[in-house]
Amino acid sequence: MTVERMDPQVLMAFADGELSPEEAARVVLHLARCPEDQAQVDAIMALTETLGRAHDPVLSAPLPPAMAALLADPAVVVPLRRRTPLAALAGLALAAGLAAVALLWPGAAPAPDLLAQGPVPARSVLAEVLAELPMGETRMVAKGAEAMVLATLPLPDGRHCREIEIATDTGVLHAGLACTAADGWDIVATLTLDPAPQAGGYVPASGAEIEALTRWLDTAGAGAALSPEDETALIGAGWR
Amino acid sequence: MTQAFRAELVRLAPKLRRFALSLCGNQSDADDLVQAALERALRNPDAFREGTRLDSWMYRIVQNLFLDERRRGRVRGEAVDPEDANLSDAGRGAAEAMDRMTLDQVRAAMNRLPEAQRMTLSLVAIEGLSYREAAEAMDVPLGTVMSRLARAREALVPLMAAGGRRQ
Repeated sequence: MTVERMDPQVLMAFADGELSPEEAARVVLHLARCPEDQAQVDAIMALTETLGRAHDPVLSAPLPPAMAALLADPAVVVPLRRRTPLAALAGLALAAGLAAVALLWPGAAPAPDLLAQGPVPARSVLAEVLAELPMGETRMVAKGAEAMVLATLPLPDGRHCREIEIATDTGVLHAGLACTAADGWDIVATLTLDPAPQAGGYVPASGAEIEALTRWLDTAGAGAALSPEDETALIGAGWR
Repeated sequence: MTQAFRAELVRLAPKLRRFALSLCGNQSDADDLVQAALERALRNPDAFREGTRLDSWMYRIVQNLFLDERRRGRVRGEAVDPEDANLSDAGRGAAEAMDRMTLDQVRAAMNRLPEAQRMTLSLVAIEGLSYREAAEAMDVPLGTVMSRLARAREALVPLMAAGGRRQ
């Protein structure tokens, strides 16, 4: 006895679970009497299963570091190591990106003159640092004060902002957000952290501290931090 | 940008890597693609409309970048007609093919499908999207999803049928 074959599209939809219960029941009854169509459905399901096995292992693999860094949540509590020795922080600050600068405590110590809100004087040491220093590298900007750029972020209007930290030899950290302006740089936000009260050497982040800088960046519509290569290109092009 | 948006991207990233792997055929190109897609999403989260599915939106970004890269020849993978690849011929050499059908070869066979068929098969058979969700992710009519799916399977199913044939 020959059973009439079913529409292949219906068999496919059945194998994909796209049919209503009533339609599916009709197919099940048909398959019981039609080995050819049953084999076709089996093959579709075997293919689905094999495609899954060929591609599923990546689901449980750790994300590549660059991807994990990109997705790093700025609000996640990241242990911030005490500033000294500076080199130890450099790696962490790079890895944490936005998070590291956002951890800074709004402390009692006033920001030094060289990291004050407003336009950065042309040809000042700070203007030079902002224009030339690649992220993660340090440069002395005053006696006992060392600067490091943590990240460079694009703004929708084509300008760029750099997150900069200045550590003083008294252990106080100043951080700021400097953005390119028509003729140089503008400091648009600053924060100060005095880590002395944190006897453990670790400063926990909380929402309040993070908001100050991230709110500015969010409001401005800043994008994800640039890669070192993109940043190098911008430095080379004079931020044009 | 809301924390929820970022958290959703973190949750989706492994699936995006799997989707991109099925498109590119190798993890290195796939991860470049996902990285670029995530950067694009993070740069421009407002492009995502609340109320629509974030996964569909992200799948769409990945596939658009994939097609862009393919046009520039920066992603490997040949778009060989299945007829030329001898995959749609169930009778000739299919049983033999199944014996060699390691998981790597499934990926390779997948990689020989035309892009549109590959993306459709991946969204439905690997990512588990419904036909309607796949249509939304690719911005094509439902009927197009079904016809692409049918053609993709015509090319690949004979390999399965040959291997799983009951005696």
